[in-house]
Amino acid sequence: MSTSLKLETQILDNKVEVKVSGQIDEDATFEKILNIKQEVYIFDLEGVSLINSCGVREWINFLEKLPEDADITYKNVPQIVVEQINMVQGFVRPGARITSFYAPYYNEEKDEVVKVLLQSDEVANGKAPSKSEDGTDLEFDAIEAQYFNFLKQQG
Amino acid sequence: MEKYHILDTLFEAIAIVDKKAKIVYSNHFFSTLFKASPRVIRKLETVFELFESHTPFPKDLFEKSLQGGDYVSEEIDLMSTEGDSPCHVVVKTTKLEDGNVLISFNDISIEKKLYDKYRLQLEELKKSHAQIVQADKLATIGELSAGISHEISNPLTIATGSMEILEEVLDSDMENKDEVVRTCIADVVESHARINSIILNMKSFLHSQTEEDEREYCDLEKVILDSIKFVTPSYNDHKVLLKSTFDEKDLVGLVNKVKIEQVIVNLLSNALDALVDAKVDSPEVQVEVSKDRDSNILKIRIKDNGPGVPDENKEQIFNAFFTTKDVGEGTGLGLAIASKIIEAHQGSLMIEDTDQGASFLIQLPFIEILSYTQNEMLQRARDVQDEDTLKVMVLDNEVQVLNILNKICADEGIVFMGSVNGLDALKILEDLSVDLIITDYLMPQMDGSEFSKRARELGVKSPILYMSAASNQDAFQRDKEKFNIAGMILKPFTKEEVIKAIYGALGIERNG
Repeated sequence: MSTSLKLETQILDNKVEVKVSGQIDEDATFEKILNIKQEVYIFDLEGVSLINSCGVREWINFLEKLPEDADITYKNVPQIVVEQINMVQGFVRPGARITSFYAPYYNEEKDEVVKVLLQSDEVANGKAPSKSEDGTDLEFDAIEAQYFNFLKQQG
Repeated sequence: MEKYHILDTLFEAIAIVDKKAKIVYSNHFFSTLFKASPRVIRKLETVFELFESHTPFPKDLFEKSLQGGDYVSEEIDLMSTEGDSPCHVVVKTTKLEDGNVLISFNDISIEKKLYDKYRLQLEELKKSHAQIVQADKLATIGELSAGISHEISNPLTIATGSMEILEEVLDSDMENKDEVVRTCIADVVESHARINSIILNMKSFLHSQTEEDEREYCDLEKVILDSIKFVTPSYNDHKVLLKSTFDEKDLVGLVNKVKIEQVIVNLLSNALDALVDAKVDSPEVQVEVSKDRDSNILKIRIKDNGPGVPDENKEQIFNAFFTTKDVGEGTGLGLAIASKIIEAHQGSLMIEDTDQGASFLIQLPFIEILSYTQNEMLQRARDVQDEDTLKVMVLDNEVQVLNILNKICADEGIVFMGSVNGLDALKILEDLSVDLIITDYLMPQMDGSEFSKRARELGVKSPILYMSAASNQDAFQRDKEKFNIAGMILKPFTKEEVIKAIYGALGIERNG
C-alpha cells in the first residue's frame, strides 16, 4: 500500500464510513475496505492531497470489486479529485452520489482563493452558487461548464 | 474565441497566443494542469509569465513558430506560479492560419515519475540479488571448505615428507642420490601446483561478480568436468562414486562458465549431502549430458541413488530459503539461485520423478536458439527495429572462433547465431531465416560443401560465405557456382576483413 495513503474506517449498523487521506497513486491499495462487507459506503475524501491517473485506475479497479448493489456516497471531495473525476469516466460508478465537494472561489478584497464546500444540490443548471466571506462577495474561480461536469455523471 | 472551443474536449493542455505571446484562448485542461483559473490567465501579459523563472518556458520555440512551422521541445519541467509542483512536459508550437501560435503541452509527469521510481526499485532488486548470490557462494564455500582443506593437506603432507627425505639424502652417501633428489623436487613442485590449482578454482568461484552477465561459447564437457573436479575431494572423502557420460562431442553452450559451474557444483553438493545423510549402500551420483534434437534442447541430468525428494517438498524445493538441512548447514538459497541462473540462460531446472533417488534436469536451448534470442533481445534493448537488423549464422566447431565473430557482430549491431554442428544449424534453418551464413569449411561431422548442398536443398536462399585457410580455396572455386557461394573469408582474419565480407556478400554499402 502507498505509505502515504491512510484509510480510516468507522462501521456502524449496515454502513461504513471511510476517511481517505494522503496520496492516491500507483501504490494505492484498498484491500482494507474490500474486506468489509457492508451495504452502504460513504467515502470522505477531505484529506486527499494528491491523486494521479494511476491512482484513479486503482480506485476504479477497487470500485469494481465492491458489491454491485452497494450504496456509494462521496463527500467533501477536494478540487484535485473533482478535476480527475471530470477527466476520467468510472471514478464515480453509476448509482453513486457526490453529496458535497470543494470549489475554488476568489476573494478580490483579500486577493486570495478560498476553497468553499458546496452541497451538490446547490448547483443548479451548471451555475455556481453565490458565496460570500466576511460580507465580501466571492467570484467562482474556475470554468463552470467544466468544473460541474461531474455532477452529470452521478445517478 | 469561440472558434477554438472544440479544443476544450481535448485532454491535452493547449494555449493559443498572439504575436506578443498573450494568451487569447486556453482550454480547460490548460487551467487544470497549471492550476491557473481563467481569472489568472486573463491577467497574464504573456504566457511566459505563468511559469517560474527557474523553470522557464522555451521562448525560442514560440519565436521560431512565428516564422512558420512546428517545433517540439525536449522533456522539460515547467513550474506554474499557481501550482505546487512542476509538470514534466513536452511542448509543441504550431503557427495557425490566423497568425496566432498554438502551444500544446503533453504532460508526462506520471510516466517520468514511474520510470524514475521503478528504475530505482529495479536497481535495488539487482543489488539485493547480487548480495544473495554472493552470500550463497560464501555459504557453498563454507560447506566445501572441509573437503578442500583435506585436499590441500594431502599435497602439503607429500611436500613436507619430500623435504624431510631431501634433508636426510643430502647428508647420506647413497648411490642413487641424484635420482632421489630429483624425485623429491618433482613431488614438491607437483604438490605446490595442486595447491595452487585448488586456490585458483576457489578464487574464480568467489570473484565472479564482474563477469555476471558475460556469456561465451564454451565447451560444456570441460565446464562440467571442471565442476566435478571441484567437488571430487568431498566425494572421495565420503567414498561416493561420481560418474559422468557425454552422449556426443561438440557439446557447446553459450553460457556464463562460472555461473553454470556454480549450478553444477550446487547440485552435486546437494546430492552428496543427501547420500551421506541417508547412509546409502554403494552411493553413486551420475552426470549425463545429451542432446534432444527434436526439441532443440541440451540436457544435463544429475541423479543419485539416495532417498529422493519427498513429493511434498518438490514444489517448494526451488523457493528461496527452503531447506531440509539442519540449521546452520544450508542457506536454502542454492537451488533458488541455480534455478534463476538457468532461467537467465533461457533454460529450465526441474526435478524429475524417478523410481529411486533424486534426478535434477537442466535444460538449455541449443546455442543457435540461445544466441539468436540473446542477440535479438540486445537489439531490442537498443531500440533497433527488427527489419533493420541483419541476422548472420556462423558455423564453426571452434568455440574461440565463434566468440571472436560474436564480438565482431555485436559491435556492428548484427544479430549473431552461432553453431558448432552442421546438422543442428540445418535444423534451425528449417524454421528461422537469416540474411547470411558463414561456415567453416573443414568441420568434423559435415564439411562446408555438404552443409551448403543441404542448405540449398532446404531452400535456403541466403548468401553463404566459406571460412577457411587459403589451402581450401579450391573448394570455394568448385562450389562457387554449384552452391552459390558468395565469397570466402581466409583464416586467420581481421575484424575489418570479416565486416567487409559480410556487407560485400549482402551488397550493402557500409556507413562510415
